[in-house]
Amino acid sequence: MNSKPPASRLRIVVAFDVCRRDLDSLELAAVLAARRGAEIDAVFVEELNLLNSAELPFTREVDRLFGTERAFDPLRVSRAQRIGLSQIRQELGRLAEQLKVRGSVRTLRGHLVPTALACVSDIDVLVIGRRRDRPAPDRAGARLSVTRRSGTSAPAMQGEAVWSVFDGTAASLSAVAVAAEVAACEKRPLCVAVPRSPPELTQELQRSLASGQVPQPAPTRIIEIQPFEPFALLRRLRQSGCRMLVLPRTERSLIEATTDSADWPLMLV
Amino acid sequence: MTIPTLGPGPLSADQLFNSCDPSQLAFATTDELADIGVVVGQERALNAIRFGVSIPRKGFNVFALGPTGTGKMTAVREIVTREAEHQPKPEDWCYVNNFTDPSKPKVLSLPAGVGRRFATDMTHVIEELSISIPAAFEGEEYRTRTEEIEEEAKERETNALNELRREAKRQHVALIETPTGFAFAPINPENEVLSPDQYHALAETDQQHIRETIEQLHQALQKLLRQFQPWRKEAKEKLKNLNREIATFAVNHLISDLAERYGHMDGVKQFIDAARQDIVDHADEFFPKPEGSGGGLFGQSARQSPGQRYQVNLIVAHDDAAAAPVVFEDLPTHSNLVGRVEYQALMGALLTDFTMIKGGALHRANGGYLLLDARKLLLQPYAWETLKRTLQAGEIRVEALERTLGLMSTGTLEPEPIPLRTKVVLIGDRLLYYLLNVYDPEFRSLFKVSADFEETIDRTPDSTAMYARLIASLSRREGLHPLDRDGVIRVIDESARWAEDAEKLNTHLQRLGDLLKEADFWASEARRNVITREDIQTAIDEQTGRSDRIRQRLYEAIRRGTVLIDTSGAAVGQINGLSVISLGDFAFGLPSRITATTRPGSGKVIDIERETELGGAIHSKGVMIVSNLLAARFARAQAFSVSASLVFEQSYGKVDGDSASLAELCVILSSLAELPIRQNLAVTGSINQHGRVQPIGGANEKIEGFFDICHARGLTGDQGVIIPRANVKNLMLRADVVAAVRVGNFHVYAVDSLDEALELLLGVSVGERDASGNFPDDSLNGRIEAKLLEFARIQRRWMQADKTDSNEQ
Repeated sequence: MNSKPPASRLRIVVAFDVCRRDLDSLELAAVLAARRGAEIDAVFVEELNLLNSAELPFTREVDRLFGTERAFDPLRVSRAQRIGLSQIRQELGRLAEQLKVRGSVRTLRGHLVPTALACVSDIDVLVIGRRRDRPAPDRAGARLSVTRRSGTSAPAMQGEAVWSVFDGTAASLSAVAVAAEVAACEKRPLCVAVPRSPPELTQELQRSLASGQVPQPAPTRIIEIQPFEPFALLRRLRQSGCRMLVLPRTERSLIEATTDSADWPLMLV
Repeated sequence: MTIPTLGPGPLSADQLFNSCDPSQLAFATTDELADIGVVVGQERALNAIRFGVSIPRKGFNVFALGPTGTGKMTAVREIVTREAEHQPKPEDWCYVNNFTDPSKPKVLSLPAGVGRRFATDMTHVIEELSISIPAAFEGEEYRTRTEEIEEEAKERETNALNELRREAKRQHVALIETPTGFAFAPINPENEVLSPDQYHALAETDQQHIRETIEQLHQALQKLLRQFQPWRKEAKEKLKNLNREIATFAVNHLISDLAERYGHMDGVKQFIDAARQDIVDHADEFFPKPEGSGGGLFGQSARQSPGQRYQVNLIVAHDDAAAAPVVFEDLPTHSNLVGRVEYQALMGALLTDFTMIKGGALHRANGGYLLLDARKLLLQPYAWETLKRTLQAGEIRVEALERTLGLMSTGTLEPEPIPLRTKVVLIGDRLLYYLLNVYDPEFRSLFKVSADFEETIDRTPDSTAMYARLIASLSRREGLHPLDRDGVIRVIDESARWAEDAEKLNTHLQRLGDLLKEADFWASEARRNVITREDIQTAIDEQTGRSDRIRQRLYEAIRRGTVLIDTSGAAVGQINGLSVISLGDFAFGLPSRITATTRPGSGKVIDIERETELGGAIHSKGVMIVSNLLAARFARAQAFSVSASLVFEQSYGKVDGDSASLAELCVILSSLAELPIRQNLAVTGSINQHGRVQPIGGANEKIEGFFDICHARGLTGDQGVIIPRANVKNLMLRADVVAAVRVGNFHVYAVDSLDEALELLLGVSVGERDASGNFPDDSLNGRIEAKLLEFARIQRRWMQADKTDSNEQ
């Protein structure tokens, strides 16, 4: 289904499906929309594969936590979808009133990422939330919020960083700029992953940050990843914690790997 | 009236007062005299105390008994302190947390002075750990390793799912994520799930194959998901082990330092090891908590600071002690003796832990000596029982009294008992000691040593010299002026008077001290730098004057004729008896009229005091002795046909004691013989059944009492007092009495027997039986016998008359 709108006004499109009802991302998108004067468009994708699975006569669902089986039928799926949709509408209504943004909700049927990508124009920003079973930002655990005793100059982390990648392309620079904006909104650090080689990439990014091409929230860190491939990057993100990953839409392999794991929200620019 | 010519002669003035020989005191003032221990003449008691505190056996605690003010406490302190100097410093004691059962804190014993150091070092270690533990968990290594474990666990699950996903894909089945789990569905070559139509369009065998495949995959998935829990548990365990490893690393070097310094001590090593383990197990307690977490009502939090459970509660420290402790507990309550557990109220609940254990006197005295006032101990509820139980058990158990009595059923601490090695010295009066001895069977097994303090010491040249030094020591100790020799002599003489014995000196240090203080005041008033005899006498007179009100009123009543006392002339059946009235620390003598009547009767002596229940048992005993003496003397060959009655005239209170029995017998005999008794004499003395006169108490006061009455009316020169000869040694009369005797204005007679007293009082010979067994007619006994015969005849006549009357009827 192709619902590409005309590229007249910036929109922030937030894509949901029954497994991804990340209201945090909706809120973040609304804040960004309010800053930029954009509209916010919530797209609820009825996952085709899920619907078809539910309609097959023999399909049963295995519970994620307990491994028990139960019936899986279209009624359950549609009920779950209705609930999800209702929550999104409600939340969007609240955010629209609070932040004075225009918002809309629509339902499409298909596969999440392609359907969502089909909804955005060149200037729009697409947000794909994390899966429901993934923990919310700044999850507690072994990480401590105490000052490092070693007395290093590393500042105290204000929670998980907003990440982006820079491969030298303009698209990636745009993604970094958007990531910086999100980091500033959330008062979080910004981390930008760059390939270790060529080393000029790092310098180029630093120049861009220094020149003001990209607003530089504090703190900003440039992390060199070697090899610069999805597995290594995602591994680093998991190690450091990631509030949101902002990618250019051209990074297909990275997009696919991220949406598969769905550990954190994804913003495509 | 003249001085009696029959009977013994009066005592000389020298016999009435035994003054110090000045030559025995070769000094001008007490400044020249060296100090002496303030307890003198108490060798028996002092030896007992020395023995009791030295013998290292259980049960040989000491009870120092004697009147108040005899220096028991002073003596005990001196001896015990001296003994303690030769004993080693005892251990320090502290309570620490019992990590396996916090309700039963453990006790540690450390060498003297080490306890505080250990407690401080432990506090420092905990403070260091509060920094080092969080820092260790903040370190890069910990983060990295944690992330590795978490990543590994996550990857494991993800990989397993992905593997299953791939396996499913190989069999043309997709693993679909649903809102609450997973499902399998067949897919086409484009990886799209088959629609129901597409599925039903397949051949039955294909459909069957798909179902079977999916069933297998279901089972594989279920098996996989069931494995996730153990995998997650493994990851948690690894995290836990990592945390323990990091905590151990952070803890070890600090605790190892501690173990090196103190680990050679029994019990301490085990505590340090247990603390180390506990810190590692509870390392998260050392992390700073976010604000607002764990808070209770009104911001109060029930959470302790993290290090509190590792603190050392030092309850006994002997840092500065040079020797064994000597502890005097002034308020020996149960909790002051064995300590207590304190509580903190928090939101309606009472909280406590081992840090709130407080030690008691037994803890402080452990390894040394504990001195207690027996009366105060017995007055405190259950304190005596607690002390006995502790001594018997040989350990100090900190327990609330409410718990001991079963009044408290809420949970509380049961601290480990502390072994007791303490010598207890109780100080009390004789009554308490003997009551405990009789009524408390445990007392004798716990207090085997009694230190019996004398009230008096013998008056010898040596003891007199020692007493002078005692006076010097006391006056110096109290910061008083020195005394001159005459002042010291006056004090010593007064001490003999207090002892009621010319050959003894009183050991009541408190009374002695008070006299010196008062004399010092009068010396200062007179602008003197030395206390003189005059100051001592003034002090004595002033003391008397302050207590003299009732005596003055009673003497006034006699002087004004309200109370009838004759001091001249003679009367039949009437005699001046003497009694002592004690008002606290002041006593005085008072003459009282005793009268007797006699008539024919059956031989009974009626004691009117006894009949009216005003006579005490001893008084009644005295009257019975009188009655039997009469019968023994006059009724051996004939019936004792007389009834007599005795009374203390104008006496409306209780009368007790037998010191008037001599007077009572004399007045009965006066009545029988119809011979008048001299009213210018007063009599005091106890008599036995054989007519021997026995000593009485208060001889000085009785003589002075009658003297004062006579003196107030004007001494006639023939007045005096008859006392038992055995009381001569007790005489320490006032100077004015002695002076009057010296010039012959007053007399004191000492008698051994009833007959001597009778001859003095009646002025006639008592009479001896002749060969035919008869008394001379004009003798006292002769007259009495004649009267008895007359009474017998009268009785026979009455009996005959009665018989005649009854026959006629």
